Amino acid sequence: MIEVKNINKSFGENQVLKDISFVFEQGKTNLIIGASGSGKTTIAKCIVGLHEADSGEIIYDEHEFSKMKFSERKAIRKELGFLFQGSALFDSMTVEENVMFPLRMFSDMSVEEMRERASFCLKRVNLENTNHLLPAELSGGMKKRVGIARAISVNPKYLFCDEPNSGLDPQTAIMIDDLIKELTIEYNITTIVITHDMNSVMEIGDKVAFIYNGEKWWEGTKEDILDADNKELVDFVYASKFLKTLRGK
Amino acid sequence: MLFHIGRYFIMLSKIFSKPEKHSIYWRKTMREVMVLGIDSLPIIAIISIFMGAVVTIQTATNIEGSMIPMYLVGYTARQSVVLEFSCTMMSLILAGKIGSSIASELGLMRVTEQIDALEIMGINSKSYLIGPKIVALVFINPFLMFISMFLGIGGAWFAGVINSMISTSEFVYGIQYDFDPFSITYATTKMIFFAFLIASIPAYHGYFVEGGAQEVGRASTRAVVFTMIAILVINYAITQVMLI
Repeated sequence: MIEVKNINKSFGENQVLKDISFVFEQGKTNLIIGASGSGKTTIAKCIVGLHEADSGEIIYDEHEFSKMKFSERKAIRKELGFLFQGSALFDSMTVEENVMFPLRMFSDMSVEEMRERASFCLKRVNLENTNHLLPAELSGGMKKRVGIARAISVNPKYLFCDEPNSGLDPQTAIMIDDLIKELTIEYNITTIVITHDMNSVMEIGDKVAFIYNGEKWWEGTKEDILDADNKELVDFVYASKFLKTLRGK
Repeated sequence: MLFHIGRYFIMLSKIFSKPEKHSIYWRKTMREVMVLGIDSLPIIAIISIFMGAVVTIQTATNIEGSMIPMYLVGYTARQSVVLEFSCTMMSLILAGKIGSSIASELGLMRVTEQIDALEIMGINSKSYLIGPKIVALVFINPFLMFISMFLGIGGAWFAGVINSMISTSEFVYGIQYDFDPFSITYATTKMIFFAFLIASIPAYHGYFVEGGAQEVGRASTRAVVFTMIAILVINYAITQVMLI
């Protein structure tokens, strides 16, 4: 479980996050949704320590991350997987080397054991026989899946996914969503997904927080979201004319 | 400007912290020795040979028919190659070749979030990415300098002999004439400082890139310009300290 309490973050004069509080539950896919530029990714980057929040607390299973030094945070970071929007694969390494990389850095496994683990993780994301390809040789969906394989290679307790299905075709996007959901349940991890894709919300959103202009505007489940009467949320959920017509009916 | 100088020194302090896994850093350093150092050998060889040859031709042409002894062609070639060309000029050239490569590599890693990925894994990205480059260049560049000196003087001899400007015995006498071994210490000291600058300044510009491809390009250009200026300033400072 990750608990965020009263997080504020500014970049110069621009306050990006305003007093955000939320509990991300273990074994569930917790979604942060909102329009582009609303501050979703900044929340995730504050939680993992890529940005330092100006004030507030970030607590990983009773460990107060926000007050830890870089060296103290290492223990938590080793249990954390992050899928980036652009996958962030190391382009000078093969697929297998990318997945093995966290193991090389932090485990005492032999090369053979690491290879086995990498193959297992790649198989888990339905990517077999790609071990020796370079990231440049992969499609967008394959890169995302390698990113997931790298994230789960260290058996993470926490999994962050930043726009996991942006730029993907609908079928691949659903496949990625399903994979995230399955892994969350299978390994009982705390998963946080940043998205603005309503299909993802309806597919995998166990718990949803809607961010509007840097503030948490609404929270609930995917079932609640369809009946919500919050104007900004309704405008976000029913953005297209087609959906507005359906809601009218 | 002060902000950048401060951030540069903070970056340096983070680079030289305890590595996560020594074996990985060692392998990465050896790879950088190959990529940044050994791969620069062809350009160093070509430039050194031809610059040495040009020094000989210019000197010989200028003193021809005068009272100045011809062995001074060898002496001049040695002095210019050892004191300035193989360390300072070669470092300026390497700043262009290696500096732009380091800045664009790290810049691209920054904009594609690869550096963020390292940080999230709990890896000290400055130490992992920049440390091996600095160590590799500080180690290999003095060797490149000695190769450049050897080839530069060789080129000077070849041009002098093939153009019948000077005999081999006169040239050899010239390069041995009034030789002070301290000049090698002076050149090596400069090369070590320059190698550090060639790795660290472009790394700074690449590591802290913000934006996209255009910014990476600009950072690469800035990196080369600032490295060259820093080399010239440090060259003056070391010369002032060591030779006066």
